[in-house]
Amino acid sequence: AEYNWRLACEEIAGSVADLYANEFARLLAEKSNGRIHLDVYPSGTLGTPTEMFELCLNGAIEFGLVGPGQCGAIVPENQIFALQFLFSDDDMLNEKVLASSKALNVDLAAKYEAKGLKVLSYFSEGAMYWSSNKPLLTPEDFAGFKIRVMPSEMLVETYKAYGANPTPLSFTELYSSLQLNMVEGQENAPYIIQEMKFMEVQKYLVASKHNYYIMHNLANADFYNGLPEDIKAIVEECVAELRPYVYKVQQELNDQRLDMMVKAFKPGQELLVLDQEQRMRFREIAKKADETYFKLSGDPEFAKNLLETFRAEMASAEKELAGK
Amino acid sequence: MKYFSLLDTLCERFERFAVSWSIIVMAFVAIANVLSRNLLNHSFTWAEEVTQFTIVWVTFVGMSHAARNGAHIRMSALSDFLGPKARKVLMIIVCIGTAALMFYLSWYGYIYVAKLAQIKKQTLGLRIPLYLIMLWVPVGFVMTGVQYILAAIKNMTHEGIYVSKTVLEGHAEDQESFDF
Amino acid sequence: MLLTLMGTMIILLLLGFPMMVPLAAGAFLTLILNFPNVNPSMLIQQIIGGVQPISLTAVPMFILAADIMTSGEIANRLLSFVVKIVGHKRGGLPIATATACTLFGAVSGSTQATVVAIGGPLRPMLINAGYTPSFSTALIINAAIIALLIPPSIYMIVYGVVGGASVGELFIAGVGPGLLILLFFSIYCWFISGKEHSMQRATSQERWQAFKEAILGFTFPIIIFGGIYSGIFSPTEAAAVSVLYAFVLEYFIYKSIKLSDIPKLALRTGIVTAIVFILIAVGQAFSWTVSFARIPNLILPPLLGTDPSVLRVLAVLSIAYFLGCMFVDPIVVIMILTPIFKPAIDATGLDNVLVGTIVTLQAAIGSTTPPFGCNIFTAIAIFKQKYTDVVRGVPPFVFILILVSVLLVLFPQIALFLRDMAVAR
Ligand code: NA
Ligand code: NA
Repeated sequence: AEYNWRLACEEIAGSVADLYANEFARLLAEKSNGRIHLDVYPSGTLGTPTEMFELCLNGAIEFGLVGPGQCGAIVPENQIFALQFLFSDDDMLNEKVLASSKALNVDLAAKYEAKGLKVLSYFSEGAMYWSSNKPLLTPEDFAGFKIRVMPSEMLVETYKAYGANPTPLSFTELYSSLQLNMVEGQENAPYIIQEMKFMEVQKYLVASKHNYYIMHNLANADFYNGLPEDIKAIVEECVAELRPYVYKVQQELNDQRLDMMVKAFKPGQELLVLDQEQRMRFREIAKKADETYFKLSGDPEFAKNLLETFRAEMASAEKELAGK
Repeated sequence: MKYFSLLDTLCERFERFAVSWSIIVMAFVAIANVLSRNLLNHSFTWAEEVTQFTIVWVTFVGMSHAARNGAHIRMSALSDFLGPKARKVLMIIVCIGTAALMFYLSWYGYIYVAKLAQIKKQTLGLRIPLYLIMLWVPVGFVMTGVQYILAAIKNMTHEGIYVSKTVLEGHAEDQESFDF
Repeated sequence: MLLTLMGTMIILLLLGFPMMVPLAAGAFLTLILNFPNVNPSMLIQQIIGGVQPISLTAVPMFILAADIMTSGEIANRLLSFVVKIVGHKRGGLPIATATACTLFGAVSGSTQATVVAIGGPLRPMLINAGYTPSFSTALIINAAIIALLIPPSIYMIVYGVVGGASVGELFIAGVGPGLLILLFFSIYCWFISGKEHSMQRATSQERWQAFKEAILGFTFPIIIFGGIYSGIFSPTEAAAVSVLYAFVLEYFIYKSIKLSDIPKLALRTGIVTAIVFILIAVGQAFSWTVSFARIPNLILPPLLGTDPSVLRVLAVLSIAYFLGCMFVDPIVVIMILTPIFKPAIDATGLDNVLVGTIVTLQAAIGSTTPPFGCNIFTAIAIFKQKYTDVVRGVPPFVFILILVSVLLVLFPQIALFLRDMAVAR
């Protein structure tokens, strides 16, 4: 092909991000009549997500599908995504905000651009659930609760605000740590919880939707800005068409996996759902972590504005929905 | 020459300090973390970052110290069949070739670290600029390269076949090269 | 491209370059020749990334604990007890060594740490009893890999994640093959041992005395095992706890080491660690180049053909992982090869837990099979043996391991019967 590009994806073959990547490759080839060929490297083949991010930054690969958590070391302002109960529990509404938010697509994207990366789009891989060996419905339920978190200060501070005992632990040690009760619970998207069979060693699954697993489709900025206009237009068109595609894929995958888990429940296992009132209580307490975000962002003034803008965008979207 | 050997001695002192204290700190942090998590219900988020730094020191500064003691692992299958003269020539080639590769790696190590500094990459918790930690990678490669140059010079100026400035080939095993 | 990579490495290796040179040169040359617009500094990123996993710290920690115990008293007391119990039996000492490696390895989860902690003190005893250094080293590095099949096992966790198999079931499935290997190793040890290797039988009084002296040493595995299985610490942290335990015992109770010994022990530990870690580091750059150049994607599909049979998939898979792990770090091999094989595995309806167990076994074999292999490097660094001497004793053990692989392919129940028992809920 005339254009041979590479994309690294932080997730394994068959995951939401991987399906996105393969559809991206298919669309690029189709719309360019074969002028563009995209090679997809799934998880692990080109190193850790942080390394993939740097590969993209340095132009060794053209595109990267990585989560913001993995590149917080380079764009610390993106730690906004680690704040909990920032999104609504309505997936459709979140999707609308992700697509249209000025805070994310303009303000935060500029921070990426300054480091040499173009954010093509943000998309959600699904809501985060808690799994645990006790019911988690109120912040009080978290008192002294040992929850596994990714090694991130933002997560640690948020769970501390609930009164929990957050324990940073690598993902590979998580299953056995849950089994051996070194930690009592964890957070992940339903399809990951199903894939890792965590419910084999947990009692409750909580539809907390306390956060969303956000991915971004990133391109190396020099590469992208150097593309001829017609090719750039093709890429933009593909990225736009991927939005409804990945939303559907994500919904189907998570619903199906959630269903599989619930059907396999043994006596005593239960799916719990947070109601709006419970969500509001968590949301208030979670705001204690705002200060940590400002501090870690490296640019507190910017971070404060970004968070305010985003909360306003979210609130107006929620209001609009309630009005209908 | 006198200043150079003074510098080399200082380097050796530094290597010993960096390697041994990295290991001690690594152990101390890990033990403290286990105790704190179980007794005080508190995990250190910075533990991982400190450990990362100690691993870099152990690996890349330690590499230079291992080169100094002729301790790096090599396969001597072919040279076992050669005569002493050919083996000496081969050893000089090996030393110079290895040194060249080390300097080459240190150059790209420098480029990589410079990029880290330029994009201001920091550790997530303590917000330490990452280039300060990774700087030791190219430095370690340079120090290792220098050790192999010294070994090549030793081979050219002295009788015998040396794997490092002070260690004769085949003696890395029986000489207690890690004992000081 | 493949020829550049392999050719460069083999020539440099044979010329006697330090092992990091062939790995690094192969990687850099392949990148520069085939991908001129990718900056080689990206390989430095991979070199650094190779030593970033925090779980690697288990290696220096167990080495340090072992160093403290061998320079102090615990190791001698423990081993003299073992020798008094089994030393007079035919093959007693090597069988005890293999068993100790299995037990310790099962707990520590690190084969390198096992080589150091068990091999360190037991190897001199084996040699004293008349076994050759090559046999003794080969026994230790091969027995250490049994640990990879017994939980917790890092390779099984990685396979579980990438291959989509239950990690818990994989853990159970590894126990059968692990014990089978130990049995075969023991039979081999029994065969090659003669009367001349046996020691005088100890009196029961001597045994009781040795037991009393070793009692505090026995609590060591109990603390490590108990700590991991009760969730007090992770397998990685267990390494640091073993340092603490060794220090408390030797410094406060036996008073056999001084505080001023610690930096010296740490330095020794650090150098051994550096020698192994730099190879892991450049090995990472090497394997990155292999996947960046999509070498497995070029090789594998033709081998499998269309609509392959179960046996063909298993055979190709075993050979691929085995060959891969001979040259590259097993974790990377698992991550690269599993997605390539996944469609074939799913299509044939193979039990994913069986595949994971076979993969783990291949990875284990690869790490003791020349030319490359962490266990070989560790043994060279620790025992200060020549590469050729270490490698010489390996073939019989690798033969047994391959035999077990074949048995496992032919009789999957070796792995699956325990799993089926546990999962039949
Ligand atoms: Na194990
Ligand atoms: Na190997």
